Amino acid sequence: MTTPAFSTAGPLMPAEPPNRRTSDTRQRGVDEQSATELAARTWADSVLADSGTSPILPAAGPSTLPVAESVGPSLQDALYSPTIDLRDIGRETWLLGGVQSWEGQILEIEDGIFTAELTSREADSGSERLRAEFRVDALDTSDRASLAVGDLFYVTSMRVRDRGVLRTKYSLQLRRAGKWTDSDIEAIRSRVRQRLEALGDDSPQ
Amino acid sequence: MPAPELAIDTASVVIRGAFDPAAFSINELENQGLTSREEISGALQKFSTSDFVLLETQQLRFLGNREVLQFNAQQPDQFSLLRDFAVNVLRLFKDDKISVLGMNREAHFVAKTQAEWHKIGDALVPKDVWDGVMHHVGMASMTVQGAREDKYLGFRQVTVQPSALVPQGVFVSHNDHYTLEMTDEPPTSRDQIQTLAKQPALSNSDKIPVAIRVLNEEWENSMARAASVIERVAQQGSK
Repeated sequence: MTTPAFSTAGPLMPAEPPNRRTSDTRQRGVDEQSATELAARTWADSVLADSGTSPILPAAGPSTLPVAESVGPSLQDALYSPTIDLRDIGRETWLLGGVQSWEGQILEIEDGIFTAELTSREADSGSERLRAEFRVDALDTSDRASLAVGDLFYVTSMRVRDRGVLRTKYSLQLRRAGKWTDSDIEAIRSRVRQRLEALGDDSPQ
Repeated sequence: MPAPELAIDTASVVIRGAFDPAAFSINELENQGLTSREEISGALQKFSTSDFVLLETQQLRFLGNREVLQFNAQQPDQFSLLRDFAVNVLRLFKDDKISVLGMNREAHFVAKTQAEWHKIGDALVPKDVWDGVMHHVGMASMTVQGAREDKYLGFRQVTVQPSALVPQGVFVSHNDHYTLEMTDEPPTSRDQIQTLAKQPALSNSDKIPVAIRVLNEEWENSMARAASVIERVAQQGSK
């Protein structure tokens, strides 16, 4: 008889949330006017009031939650709905270590094509730079309108097995730098000056 | 041994402190250029009040209240965007106080055979210690913690469980915990890590630039450390 190394019969300890199964509520949405909003929020606050830095709220959803006194979609549903669509699990797998990524900077945009300089983000890649052209429509729709020279983006390639077939999947994603005010930049300059002074250099640029 | 194939691979950032959720309401995220109107209108979930915010787009999930912020991404090609988003949100809190930061990666891989799956559990939790007192012993969960060799105070924690989501799968969770303080001397004993793990971390606003630096400098390293852990766990099945 083989001694089972993993048991599925016993009650799990208050398990790490990302390894729990839940019903799939991702399409249900949130009713912001829900009468249970306050109760759910209080509940959510208590869930979040831990002390560690492991993720409290799951990527894949828990199964042993307190039951909300709600009949409709609630904040609790929203919090504990999985970010992963459980129906897709296993349809596509990817090789650990099969991900490569580059950071790109846009040099030119013309006729629906942008030219960019790419730097590999692998630790042992040195400082080699590549030049490449991409179609603007390879980017997410919401990013196309605001695309400008100087924008930064990521290119990622992943070795995936899709229904048994091994292939390489590429994605392009524009980086969002957010808005920077003059005072933000001045605060950074000030910190740089302080560091340089601490290092004994009194001529900050 | 070939690298394991992952059925699920997610990353998250968890930050604890004292926050004003109004500063990161969904409207404010848009005003700050951290998300677009299209992303918000196409969000899978969105909810924000003066106490709480939740935004889940196709790429990322962000939620926070007065004590914690959590950011999740569910595919490796979204991990760097997740880091950028966390950094940009932290920039909105330059005067607030934070205490600790966690960079996490969680994966589920499928063991090739049932025998390999059992071997992993047996290697991580040898069963002879239970001889005569329990029968058919199986590992339900195992957590270890250890030191991290960098200039930041903190530790790493790894949890392995049978996957509840993937048949014949193994769940591996890697938590890189930072108390956002610098150190010249990484822990040299298990006792030191134990003490560190129990110590309440202090909150202050000086930790925000440190957290941004940790995310910028250590994110890729943390994801790589987690990958090494996942690989090591998977290797136990083929030994």
